[in-house]
Amino acid sequence: MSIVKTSFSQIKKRKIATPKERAVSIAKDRITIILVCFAFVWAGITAGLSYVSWISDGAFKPVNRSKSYSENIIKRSDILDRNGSLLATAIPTASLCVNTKHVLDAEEARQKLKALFPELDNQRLRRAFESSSSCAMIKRHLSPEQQVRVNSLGIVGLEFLPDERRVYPVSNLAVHVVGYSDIDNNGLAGIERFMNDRLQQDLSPLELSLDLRVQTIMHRELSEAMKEFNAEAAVGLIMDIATGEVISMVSLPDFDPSKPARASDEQKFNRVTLGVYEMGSSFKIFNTALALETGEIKIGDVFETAEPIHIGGFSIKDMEKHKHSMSVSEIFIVSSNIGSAKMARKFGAKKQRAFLERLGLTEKISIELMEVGTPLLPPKGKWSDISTMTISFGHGIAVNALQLAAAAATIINDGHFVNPTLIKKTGETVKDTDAVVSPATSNAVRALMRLVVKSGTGRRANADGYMVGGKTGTADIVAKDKKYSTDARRASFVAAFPIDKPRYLVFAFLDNPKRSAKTFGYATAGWTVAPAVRNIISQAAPMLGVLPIPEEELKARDDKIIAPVKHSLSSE
Amino acid sequence: MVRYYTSFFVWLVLFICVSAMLYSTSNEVTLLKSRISKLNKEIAMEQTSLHVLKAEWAYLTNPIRIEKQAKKRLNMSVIAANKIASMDELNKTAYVERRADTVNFVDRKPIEKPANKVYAATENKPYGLDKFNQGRINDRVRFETSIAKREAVIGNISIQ
Repeated sequence: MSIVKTSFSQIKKRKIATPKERAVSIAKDRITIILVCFAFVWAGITAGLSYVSWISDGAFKPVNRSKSYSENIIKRSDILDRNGSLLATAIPTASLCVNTKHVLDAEEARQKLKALFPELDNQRLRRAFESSSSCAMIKRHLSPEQQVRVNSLGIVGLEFLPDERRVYPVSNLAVHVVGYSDIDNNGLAGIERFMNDRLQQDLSPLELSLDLRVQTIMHRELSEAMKEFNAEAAVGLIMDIATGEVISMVSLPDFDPSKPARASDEQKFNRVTLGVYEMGSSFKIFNTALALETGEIKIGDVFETAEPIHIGGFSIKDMEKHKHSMSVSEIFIVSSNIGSAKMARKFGAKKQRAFLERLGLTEKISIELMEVGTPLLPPKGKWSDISTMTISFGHGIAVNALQLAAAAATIINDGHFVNPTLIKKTGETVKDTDAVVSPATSNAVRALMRLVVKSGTGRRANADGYMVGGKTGTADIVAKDKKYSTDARRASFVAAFPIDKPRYLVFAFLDNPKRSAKTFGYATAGWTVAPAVRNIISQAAPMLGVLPIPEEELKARDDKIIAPVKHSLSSE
Repeated sequence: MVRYYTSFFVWLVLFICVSAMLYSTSNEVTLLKSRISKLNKEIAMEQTSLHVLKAEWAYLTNPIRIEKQAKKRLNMSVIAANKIASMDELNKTAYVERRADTVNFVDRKPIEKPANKVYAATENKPYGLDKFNQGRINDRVRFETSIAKREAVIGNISIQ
């Protein structure tokens, strides 16, 4: 503006300003201004251009790439174990389709394809070649080798669609946890099903609580025990008591998740979570804990155990004939049904039910699986005296293995509730402040469990160098005629180690193990499943950070844990 | 007039220079773009094969397979409790070993720790760690002897 003003003043000074001259002068001034502006912009552009072309040497702004390229290809996230081992992943494949508009000789193309893939269905192949779609599907998930073969056929109009396929590198090892998915990568079972949305939306790998190494040990030992005792099925479970993380979960028989169609229902059935069973004497853990917790029964209290109980047409017997009378400790250690039933009769049905409810044994347990069974128990009004007595030794109530393990872990864990999970936990777990039993009760039960393994029915679970505590359970199986079979049983064992400072809980059972010469004709839990648990603990403990203890230290710790219940044991 | 020509000439030269520059830059950008897309494709391919290789690795390191191979080729078996030790215990073992005057096959010194202190720690334990450790030492001596033998054999072969 100032330039324009100056021009005006000059014109006025000279006093020759005709209107025409004035207009020309203004125009000139304006052109000058525009030219100057242009020159500036031009200079700016030139400078920028020179900078980009010569000075900066191409190193302008680095392109920020946070996303991995493979994430653009793979559309379902990996599943890992707690140490990062791959349990499920997706690999890119190609699917073959046909664009019929480009096909020259449909009949020839069809014959060539049929020759290459004899498994193709004739009718479907014909339909694909008659379809008007620009990409009618012929075959899903071709291997690179098959792709080359198809290409070498030289058929115009065949196209490959990028596709992906779920693979399970560890095959059947963790199949009942991980599950499997269909051809379109939708989860059909296990974590694959429960976490389907998570796996599709968030491509970062999902870390499970499982430890593949421990899972392998569990799988191997259970398979061997199953074979040795000709058992029909087996279940194994290891749980971190502090966090509730499931370190291992095995249900046998199992199957290869890449071929779910070939698996039978028996194999697909998850016996850890979906199957509910009468667990037998493992329930004496709860019975004893409740008895001590009510305060009505002391650990040294003595019950008559010689004569079977006859009530309402039932009779409650012990497997072997025991002494005339036994203390609460001894009833637990030799696993007397008669003694347990008498203890239960003393505190009654109401307290028993409330206690089992607080332990989570009366409702469906929450876990990251769809395949979860609901416990079977007497209806509220019909929780009779007979029920109370049979439930005290684990009959007349059916729960799943995971539930039983979590409840036992709760008792051992000073009564703080243990919530099982299949997902790896990060950060500290806060202990539930509301304890189901007192530390004193928990301590007494732990001492009794140690005694069971040291000198009771669970001797064969005593792993060298480890403080193992446990409880055997041999439950009769209900046969098809709905009567308890006399020669079919479910042998279970629930153990914890180190029992004085419990860190891990192990639960295993064998369905209908047969007697063998090696076990001197016995097929009870102490003879069949306890040795398997010993093998599992002695191999898995070092991996879980529990190291063996020298013999002398073991003795000292034994004495310390047994001290509070020592007075209740008879001298012999 | 001359002034106008000079100005015109200057502008023309500038224009030509800038156009040339622009052309070369845009040309370079096109080339770089095609290189980037090629590299991106290659990266994607590499990452895809990496993904597949990871799956294959997981398949090959399947614990059951490793176990079979270890049994078959290395004659390995399940580890016994008395063969497991922590680093701390190994330090003590190394000291006990020297004290017990066992043959030292491998040139390995215990981690620097005042000897009397370690000794005191061993003594103070009421349940005789020495005896427990002795089992481990025996195992190790046996193991190291076999290694030494093998090394001797290998040495002979290389000399011949």
